[in-house]
Amino acid sequence: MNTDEYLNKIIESVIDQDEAMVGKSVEEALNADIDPMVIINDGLTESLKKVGDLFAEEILFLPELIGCGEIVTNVMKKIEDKLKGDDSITKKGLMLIATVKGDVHDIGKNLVVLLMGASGYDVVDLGKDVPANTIVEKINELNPDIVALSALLSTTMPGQKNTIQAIEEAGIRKKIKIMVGGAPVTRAWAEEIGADGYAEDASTAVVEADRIMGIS
Amino acid sequence: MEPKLKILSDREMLDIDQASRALLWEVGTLAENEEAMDLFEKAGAKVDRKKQLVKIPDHVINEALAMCSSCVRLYDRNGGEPLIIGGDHVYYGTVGIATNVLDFETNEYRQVVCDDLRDIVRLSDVLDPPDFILVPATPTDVPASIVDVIETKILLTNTKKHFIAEAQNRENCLKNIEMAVEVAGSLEALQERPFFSTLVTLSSPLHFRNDGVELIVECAKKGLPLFIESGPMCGGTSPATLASTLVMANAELLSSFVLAKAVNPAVPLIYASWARILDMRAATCSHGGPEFGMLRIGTTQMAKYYGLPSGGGGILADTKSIDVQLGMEKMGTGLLPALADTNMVVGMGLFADENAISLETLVIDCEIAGWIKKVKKGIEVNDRTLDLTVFKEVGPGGDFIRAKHTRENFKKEMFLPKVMDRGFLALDKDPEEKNMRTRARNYFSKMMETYTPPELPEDIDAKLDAIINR
Ligand code: B12
Repeated sequence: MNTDEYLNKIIESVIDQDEAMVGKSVEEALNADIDPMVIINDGLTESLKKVGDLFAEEILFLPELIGCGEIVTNVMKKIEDKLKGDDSITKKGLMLIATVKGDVHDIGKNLVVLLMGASGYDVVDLGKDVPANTIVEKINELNPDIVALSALLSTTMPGQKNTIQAIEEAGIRKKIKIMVGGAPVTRAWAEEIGADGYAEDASTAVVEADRIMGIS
Repeated sequence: MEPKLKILSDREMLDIDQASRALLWEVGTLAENEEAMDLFEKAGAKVDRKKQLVKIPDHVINEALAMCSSCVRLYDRNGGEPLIIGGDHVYYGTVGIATNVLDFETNEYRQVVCDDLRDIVRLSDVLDPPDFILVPATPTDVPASIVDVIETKILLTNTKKHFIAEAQNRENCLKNIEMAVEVAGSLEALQERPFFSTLVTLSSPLHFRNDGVELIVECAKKGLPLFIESGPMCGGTSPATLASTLVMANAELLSSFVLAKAVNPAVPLIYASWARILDMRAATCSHGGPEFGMLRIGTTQMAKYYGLPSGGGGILADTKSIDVQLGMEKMGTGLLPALADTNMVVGMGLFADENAISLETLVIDCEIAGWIKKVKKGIEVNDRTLDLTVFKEVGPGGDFIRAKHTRENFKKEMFLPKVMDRGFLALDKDPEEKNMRTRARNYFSKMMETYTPPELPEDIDAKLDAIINR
């Protein structure tokens, strides 16, 4: 088998939602000396793009999308554990995400967490109803590349703005990229409050994150 | 007889009741709030303070239910008869808290401002139904921290119908009450004829939010009515079967009733639900499909099973424009709960899966509610309606259009649409020229021409502002 065939097998077994087969195909590819980063980027991450397309075409449904996302996250973790210390593995970056203070809507945010995690980002989820100072503390502690803020209420959208202000006041704004989202949030609002990125749903959130991180 | 609709058999309701009790005892509910945990403990529930987990035994649920009334009386400020919420009465209301409005003039979406809310409340005041008004929209041109109390002021100053207010925390809930007391004259007067209720939305799965607890506690203390809604999303915040979604919606409501009754056994409670589905294709929360109507019959039947007054979403739509889908969804989700005798059907005006409102949809929904009301009356069969005299008068081969009997009865027997088109097909005219939406618009203009909003004395107005800005 050539590299493409190994990768295709991975992609197809993700789409089939066959976790055992995904694991086995990755194992085979590693044994065939294919670069682990190629397996991750052109195999696993690529499979999720395909899954995303099938979702958009209404062939796959949300639970299946999530199922694929979970399989990829699990298998990805196994590769990382296995190759620990091996510097050939690089993640796209670390994302810190939270639903802002006063807001408990978290279903959409959880989808973003899942797809970002499955697309090569490390994700730390701070949960819902998270005050700005907690987010600032966590940035200092974890040094993320991206901070993502979700808000589903017109009354909590100012929370995104306040959080960005708190980050600025803490003098750490330049270290990170900020992305905002949630049903009432618009690109215009994102620009107004000085965020770097905005996405209207979970799969475009991945594309947007790549964009602001300068990953093509 | 009146047409009635059921979706659960007696055995199925018993099964759901038993599963709900098992859920509250074996799994329990989260209450990350000291006050709530104290109250649950007082009521006899088992509280794990570390996990903030509350497990409610059967007898505690029974005790709370025993304190509930089969009906709640909701008053208005016109001094008229109250709405009797309970039994087979069905009333229709607005709902929304929508932040977008489909602009009447430009036909474009934009954010809701205070003037929009005022216009929507005024239209709701003049149309019949709505029988009561749940805050239809959230203005975005005022500070978020006081938007709820501003909404309450707009309601107090633009309608005398009963309204349901929202509040984001204890402070604003108390301000709502304080404003209503100003208008009523005294707390006693308000308690005697409560002309507003407070909305509480529960969080699924099985989780009390601080704001919800605060609202329940403050309104219960004063004995003011609570409209409590559970809204699990099948496949999202509740299991993917409709039956388990009913169990979750029911268990959450029962637990909130235990909490409210632990504060004050006299607090009037309405069992309402928006149990719904998560759309697995669009990843959105859907309110316009068959499941929504089915779940509404289910939650209503459960309310009746316990002998409680019921409410819930209805006349709703997911569509993003005023189109065929809107009519289809709104009629379906309006008719089903109404035929199940949901006492308070809330949804008029709202569409775009809860994200938008418009003046035209409010008019259209008034028409839909009228249509449904007609169906609910059933076909009257009695001496008046079966009088043989008119057959004898007209005789075979005659016509009934000229009969006195017709003049006397047609209004009693037929629904007279306000905006539906039943004219001739005029081939020389563009059929689109006067579509439903245009007619709704014209009807709005006609209704508002002569409308004058209720007046409040100037000093009270100033007092309301003082409360808001304190
Ligand atoms: C479910 C729901 C609830 C549930 C939440 C359960 C939960 N665990 O999340 C409950 C019942 C608890 C609830 C409560 C309330 N709600 Co609510 N709720 C909804 C509802 C119906 C669906 C939201 C949802 O989950 N959608 C599905 C998910 C998958 O979509 P999503 O969240 O939009 O996320 C997607 C994108 O936005 C994006 N995204 C999301 N976050 C992020 C973040 C980033 C960084 C990026 C890039 C992208 C991104 O990607 C996601 C996936 O594609 C909406 C109406 C609607 N149809 O949208 C109202 C709605 C948001 N709620 C509303 C209101 C008013 C409330 C309450 C204030 C009601 C009240 N008075 O008590 C409370 C507030 C509670 C609080 N303090 O937060 C209003 C908001 C209006 C406004 N003023 O802004 C809405 C619009 C409904 C309405 N018209 O009344 N609600």
